[in-house]
This record gives sequence, C-alpha cells and structure tokens, in this order.
Amino acid sequence: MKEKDKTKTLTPAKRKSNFTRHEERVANLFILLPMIGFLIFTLASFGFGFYQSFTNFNPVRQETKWIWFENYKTLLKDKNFKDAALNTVLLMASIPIGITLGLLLAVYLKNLAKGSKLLSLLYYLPAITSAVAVNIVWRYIFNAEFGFINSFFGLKIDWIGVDFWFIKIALWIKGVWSALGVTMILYLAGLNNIPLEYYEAASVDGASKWQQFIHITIPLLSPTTFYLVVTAIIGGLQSFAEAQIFANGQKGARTIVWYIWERGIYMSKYGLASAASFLLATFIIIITIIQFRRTKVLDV
Amino acid sequence: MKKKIIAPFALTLLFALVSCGTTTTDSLPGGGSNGGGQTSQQGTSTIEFFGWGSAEEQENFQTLVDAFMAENPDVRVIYSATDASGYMTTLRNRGSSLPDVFYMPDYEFMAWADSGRLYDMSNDVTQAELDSVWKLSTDMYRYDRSTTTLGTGPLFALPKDLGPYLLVYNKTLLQQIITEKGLTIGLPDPHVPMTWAAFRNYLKAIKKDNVFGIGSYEMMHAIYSNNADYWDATVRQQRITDPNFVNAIQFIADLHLVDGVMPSPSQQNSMNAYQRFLNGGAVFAWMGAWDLKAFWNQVTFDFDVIPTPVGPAAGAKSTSWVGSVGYAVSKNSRQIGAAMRLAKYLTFNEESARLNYKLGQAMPNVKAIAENDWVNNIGLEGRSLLPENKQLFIDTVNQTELIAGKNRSRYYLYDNTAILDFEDSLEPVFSGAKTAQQFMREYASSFQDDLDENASYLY
Amino acid sequence: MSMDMALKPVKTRRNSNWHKRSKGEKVGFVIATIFVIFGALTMLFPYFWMVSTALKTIAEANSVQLILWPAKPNWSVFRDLINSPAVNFLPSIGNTLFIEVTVILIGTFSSTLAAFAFAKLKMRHRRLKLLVLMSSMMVPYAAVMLPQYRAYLFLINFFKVDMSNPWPWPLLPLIIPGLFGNIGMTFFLITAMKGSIPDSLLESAKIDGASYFRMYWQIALPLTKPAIAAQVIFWFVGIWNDFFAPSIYLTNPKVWTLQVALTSLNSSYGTGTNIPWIMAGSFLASIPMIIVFIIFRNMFVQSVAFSGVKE
Repeated sequence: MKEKDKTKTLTPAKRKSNFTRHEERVANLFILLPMIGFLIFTLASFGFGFYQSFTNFNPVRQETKWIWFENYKTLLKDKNFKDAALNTVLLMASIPIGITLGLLLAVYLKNLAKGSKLLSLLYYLPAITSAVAVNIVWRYIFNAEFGFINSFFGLKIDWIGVDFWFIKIALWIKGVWSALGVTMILYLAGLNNIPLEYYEAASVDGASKWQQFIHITIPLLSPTTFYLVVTAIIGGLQSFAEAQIFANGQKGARTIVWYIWERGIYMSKYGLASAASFLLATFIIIITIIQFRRTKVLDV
Repeated sequence: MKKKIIAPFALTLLFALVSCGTTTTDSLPGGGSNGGGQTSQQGTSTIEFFGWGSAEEQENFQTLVDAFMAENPDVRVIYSATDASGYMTTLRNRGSSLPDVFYMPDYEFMAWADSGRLYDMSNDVTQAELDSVWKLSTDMYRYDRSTTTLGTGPLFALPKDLGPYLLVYNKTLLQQIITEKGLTIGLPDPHVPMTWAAFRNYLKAIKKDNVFGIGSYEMMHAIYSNNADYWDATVRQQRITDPNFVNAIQFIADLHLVDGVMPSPSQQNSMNAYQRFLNGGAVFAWMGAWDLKAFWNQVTFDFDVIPTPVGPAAGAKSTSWVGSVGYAVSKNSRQIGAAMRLAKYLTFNEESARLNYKLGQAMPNVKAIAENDWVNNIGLEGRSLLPENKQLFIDTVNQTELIAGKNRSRYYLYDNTAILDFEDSLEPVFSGAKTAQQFMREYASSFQDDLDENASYLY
Repeated sequence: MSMDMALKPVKTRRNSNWHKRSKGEKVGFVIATIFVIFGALTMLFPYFWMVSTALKTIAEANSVQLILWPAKPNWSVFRDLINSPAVNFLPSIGNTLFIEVTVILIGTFSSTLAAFAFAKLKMRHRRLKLLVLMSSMMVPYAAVMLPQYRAYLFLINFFKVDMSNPWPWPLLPLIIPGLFGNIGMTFFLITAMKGSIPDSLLESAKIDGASYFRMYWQIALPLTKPAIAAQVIFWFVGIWNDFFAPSIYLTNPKVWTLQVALTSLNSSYGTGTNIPWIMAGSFLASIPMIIVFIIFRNMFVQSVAFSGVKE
C-alpha cells in the first residue's frame, strides 16, 4: 500500500533526479581514493613544504624558528645553488640533439620495409633500462683510467673529474643515447597521423623529398615536438641519478634536485631545501600549465 | 556529502603535518621526552648503545659490551651501529628519542652540547679519573652553554680516543730509492720537524718515475703549522686572507704544480692517497692509529711516522690535527646511572685501552697504558711493533716544545657548512687555475657569510 | 596504437619502389642506413660492455688496456653476486616485488574505479575535479619529498621502530601513496573507457538493477582490459626502475629494493669498487624489464604515445 503511494507521488522528473543524486554520490565515492591521495600526498605535502621554507628547523635542538624569507635570500646568494641551477640548465643542451636525431630516425624507419621493428626495439632499449644501470655502465665507460672511451680512442681525458665541461659532454652523450628511443617512438606515432595525400600532392607539385620534409613533416609534427621538448625540460629539471650515480657528487654535474637532497636529507637543512624545492616546483608547474593548455589534456 | 567529510579531514591532516615540526622536545607525544631505557621486572635496566664502524669494529665493540655486561649483570646493553657516513644523519633523524649512550664525534660536538640534550657528566666523573686520560681529550668535551665557549664548563661527553693524524713514510721504498739513486740524504728525523723548504727538497730528491713523493697534503696540517687559522679566536671573523693562510694553501698546491711530487687533483680523485700509499705509488702519506690494522695486515713494507713539516711564518710550530670521538649520554635517558656506567667503562677501562692498541685500532686513551705499555711494545710482536716512533703520537696530544696537536677545524663550528663549502670550492687553486691569494680574496666574503650564519646559531 | 601499427611503412614508399627512386635518393638512403645500423650498434654496445666487463677479473676490469672480451670469461660472477650477503640481491628483488604487487593491485583498483566514474557517471563539477587531480601531475616529487620524509621520521620515532630491523616500515612511504591511484593511468583510461563502453550497455544494466560497482566490475573492467594492461605494464616497469625515493628511505640493507642494492656496489673511488660485480648487477637488474618490454612492446608504445599524440 505504502509503496503504491510512493510511486504515485513521484513524478518522472523526481524519479530521475533521485537516480541522478544517487549516481552522483556513487561517482564521488568512486573518485574518493585518488582525491584523498591528492589531498595528503600532493596538497598537504606541498603546503607543508611551502610553510617549511619560511622556517629553520634545527634537528639537533628539535626547534623550529620562523625566519620569513631568510632561506630564499640565502638560496639566491649561495654559489652552490647557482652552480646547481647552471649545471641543470646546461645539461639540458642534449635535448635538441636527441629530438632531431629521433625525428630523422623515425622518418628513416617509416621508409623501411623490413627490419624496422627490430631496429626500433634496439633503439628503445635504453628507455626501459633503469637509470641506475644506465648511469653505472656509462660511468665506467667514461672512466679516466680504464674506461672504454679513453682506451679505445687513446685519450687521457678525466671525464668524470673536476673539469666543468668534460663531465657535461659525457652526460650529453649519455643523454642522447638514453632519449633517442623515446623521441623516435613518439615521432613514429606522429608520422602515422600525417595523411599520405599531402605528400602525394606535394610530389605532384614538384617538391623534392627534402622540401616535403621541411614544409610538411616538420610543421605537422609540431605538437609531438612540443610535447617532447616540454617533457624533456621537466625531466631534465628534476635529474638526480646523473649527479648521484654517474658523477658521484662531482661538482660539474650537481643539479638542483641534488642540491635539495644534499641540503635537505643529508645535512638536514629542511628549511633551505624546501625553499629550493618550492622555487623548482613553481617553475615546473608553470611549464606544465603551458603544456596542458596547449595540448588540451583536460578534454577527456 | 563526501565533500563535507573531506574538508575537515584534510585540514586535520594538514594541521598534523604542520605541527610535527613546531613542537619542542617536551610536548611531543609518545616517543617524546624519553630515551630508550626501561626497567624490566627483574630489576635489570636496559640501555641502548649506538655507534658506527666497520663489521670488524662492531665485533670488537660487541666484545667490550659483553665484558661490561659480565661485570654489571644488572644492566643489559643493546648495541647497534651503522656505517660512518650515515651516522650523523641517522642520529639527527631520531628526533627526540635519542639512544642512551652514543658516539659524539668532534665535528658535531658543539651543536649537540649547545642543544642541551646531552647529559652533564661533571658530577659523575672524579678528577682522578679525568687525569688518567689525556687532558686534551677531556678538555675538548667541555662546553659552556651560557658563553658558548668550547673547552671550559660542564663535561658533556667522555673521550673514546684521540686520533692524531701524522705523516707516515714507506721506509722500505724510501731506502730502496736512496740506494738506487745513490743519495746522501738519510731517513727523515723522527723527532725534529723539517721546514717546508727542506721537505720540498727532500721530496724532489727522491723523485722517481711512477712513484710520487707524497700522495696528498693535509690542509689543516699546513695551515696550523704556519701559525694560521681559518678564523679569529672568536670564530666570527674570517682569516683566510691572512698571508700565513694563503701561503699554506699555495705550498700545498705547489707540491704538484711546481715540484711535481704530488698527484694532481684529477689523479687524487681517481686514486686516493691512502690507496696510493698502500700500492707503493707514494713514499709519504698520512695516517691515524686506526690505520694500523690495515698497515700490519695488508702490506709488507716497513713504515714509520715523522713530525709534520713546519712553515716559515713567525711563531710557526709543527702542528697536526687530532680527531676524536666521544661517548655522550642522552639527557632524557631513563637509565642515566646505567648509561654513565657503560660510558665510563668504555672510556677508562684499562683492558679495552690495551685491546685498542693490540688490535691496531687506536692510540690508548688511558695515559698509563699508552706511556708504559704501548710505547714499550708490551704484547706486540712482528709487524704490530710498527711504527717505532709511537712517542710522536703521545707528544702530539701532550704538546712539546717542537710538536703540537690541535682539534680539527669543524670542531670549532656549530654549523659545518663553512668548512664543507670551502674545501669543496678550492679545486681551482690545486689545479693551478687560480693562485691561492686570488682565490682567498674572491672567496673571503662567502666564507664570512657562512661564519655569520654559524654565529647566528649561537648569539 | 601499437608499435606494429606505428611501424607500418607508408604505402608509396615501400622499397618495392626502389627502382623508381632517383640516384641521389638511393645514395642518401644507403648512407642513412649505415648511420642507423651504426647507431643501433651504439645502442647495444653498453649492454655488451656490461656483460663483457662482468666476465672479466677485477684486474682486467681495471686495466688501462682495452679488453673487449676477457680471455677466460668468469661465468660464475652472476652466481657469486646473487649469493653475496653484502649485496642482498635476491631479498632486494623480493622487496621490489612486494612494492610492485601491493601498489599495482590496489592502485589499479583505485585508478580504474575513478576512471570509470569520470568517464561514465554523472557528476557535477566534473572538469573541476579532473583539474584538481591533474594538478597532482604538475607537482614534482622534489616539492613533496621533504615534508613526506619528515612525516615518515615522525611516525618512525612515534612508534619506536627498531631501525636495525625496520621491515616493512621504510617501504611504506613508497607504497602508500601509490595505493591511492595513479593519475596518469586514470587519465589514459578515461579516454579508453569512453571509447569502449557503450552507454546502452550501462543503461540496460541500470534497468536490470545492477549497482554501479557491479557495472564497473563486470562491464567496464573487462571491456577495457587491454588499455588497463598497457598501463599496468608501464607502471610495473616504472616501479622496478625507480631509484630516487627508494634511495632516500631505504638505508638498511634489509629493506633495499633492487636499484638501491645496485647502487650500494658503487663506491666513491675508481679503485675499490668491484667493477665486474657492479656490471653483472646492472645487467641482471636490466634483463627482466627488457624481457617484459620485448613481450609487451605493443602495450608499451600505446602508453608512451598516448599523451604525445593528442592534438
């Protein structure tokens, strides 16, 4: 009896909105875990880090002092931080090389009938090898006394030594080796999206292969190029394994994240390191926002 | 609906994460103001002893701890150790729950003594006990918190040992070179320090292909032996632009750049002086008493120690740095009595002092054992009789007319950044890119900034 | 898209048209081929060097002379390394797998559930919520590392964890964040689910009285299995190769993961490291993921290419 009354008072609209509200509640429940994860591990952590950058936590005294912008001032005066920033930027010089070579490789592989699968597999191997293994083997390839490079070419260069440039050259070479596979794969995917008709039409108009490359391929691949450049920059800004494992703390390879690790974890200077992390994070967030807007990631 | 729960939950978490850092020792819950000590029902106290060391040192310490427990059946000691490089970080990360007894190295002593978290041992040790060990080793662990002065005031740690770092040479190799080259110079004098000029000439005379005169040169030895220091007596003003200091650094650099008797920074990077000395690639090197075990067992050559060369400055005296580690007791330990008993046992016990020198671990800290047993080679034989010149270790900590020993630079700092960054930046001088004078002039203001920051913790 | 698809040659450029090409083109192609093959060998060379050096004696590895392949390859180096107690090789693989299994099982559940909600369920402020989650992709690890570390230290001291036997505590900071889901996976799956789950199927399920959870479990998951598998493989390799965070938390050898155990072999001076061992270790650590890649390479490329190709 009661049920019958209920259905009589429920209009179709009301019945639908009950459904919707229920669905909404379930939807919110379903996304609860990632939301909580975000709150704790991203928002709260980032917020605390921001707060911490204005303090000086002394672990020996177990005291926290609020010191306003002192950490930031120290950071900007600190030669170690400025050197780390400079190193980080300079190390990214291998990005354009890796991207260019990756593009050329992808174009080549597209034209190949046989063997492209094997070749692309070989080129992608470095990308799935752990950073630790990669840095270790290259560290010993570049070793001054018994490394392959010096032995084979008869050189006596102290690559992973105190010189400012040699260590960077070594890291550029390793960097291109590591990154080539990823850029190649992405360009291959991008090349697939270029309609054949464009090339056919250009051939008909008398354009050479080179001209077609410059005027069709490269412009139409610009979204991929943009994505590769931005991702490589964001990755490069956060590089740590190179400084720690390849260079074992050598001055010429110290990056920003290495500085944060040294000051924060090793020397327990949490406030100073948090200030550096905050500056780095702000920079990366801005670049990421630009990338996201350009590629319209949110349109899912 | 779920959203209404999220917000306060998040705020609570945020608050919790924030409040972690703003509490002092007393208000932290649970793991707060207590050390590890507890008393179990049978009346035995349990204390935690934390240190560092190689697998072998840890074994030796476990033996000592077992002997202590045998003599003190009402105390149970839980001993654990990490590797040396991670020790301080681990200790700092223990937050407010420190071990009952733990290693306190010289280079961190000031910060910890100043924090008030170390137990004041002044009333638990008698003057007679203190007199039985080297004066330098007990004075250095005194600290006056009200005037932030080292060397006076309450005693905050007991000395484990003193480690003078001395100039050692490969006697076998040196004699070989002298014979080969038909030189008229003899072995270096074991009692009278050479001047820098004499030392340079000596090294040049024994120069040979593939063998360096000296593997490296200790910075502090050159600085201290030229009547110079990094800072003034108050440690607030830099003194690295002082001519004596500059000359000391340049002297070291010139050993490679001018005389060619020392490896370049690159070469030192790929093989350190210690390794080079063991391989016979260098005649002179530096050693502490802790290296003796390796020198006895891993190599077969004869070696001995000689006084550190003294610089040309007025008032200069041959000075070597003396490192040290102490045993500290946590102020908040629940078993202060038991902890002090362990610390005193480890410090004053004569058997452990003997064990130290017999195992080639350290110079005995108990004066009587060092001056009577050790110097007279009691219980030593074969290779463990080396080095002959043990008296030099004793003279260095006692200070004689010609020989002196001084604490390491970082001992005098609250915050070691000044020295760490300085040593890190010096490379251009040693590779010849800059003269020492140029470098000091340019670096002085950074160094002063670091000293100012150091002072900001104390004043 | 799969690697096979990505590599399908463009119709008009198949080498069957070789005879139609100009001489210049042919020469160019040959030169390019030489470079590419040389490059492929350069890609392989470090792996070869790893193995050849691993098989050398310590003296040979340290020798100034170039030794491409040792006279007497020491094949037992791999066994010695695995059995060495100082390196903790097998236990470290165990720790790595412990992290892998817990994180991927629960994390995939969290991510897929959320992806389903975003893709197929009605919710208000959907874009806003997506934006919120997306912002966690923007914040670099370095920015949250120190606060999480301090929180971890606080908990360790609060619960008086015995740091000489700390298992599994130091592994928790590496596991717990992952349990809440992987935003990259969620984003990838939103597109996949939108495409592969017809609304009509959900409608009829609703009419049949199925709960939303059942729709997720019995419709969404099976239909997007390939996409989920692709993301899982990608995540698996990522965790296996992860180094930075583990190196901070896992200081005690008992809790080392594989990558951290590997770095323990690296010492500060050229002399003093057991070079054959560290090469053997690097090789052994890399092989599993290379095998995974060879088997699952299509799924791999799918995940990698996803973000890059949106326009």
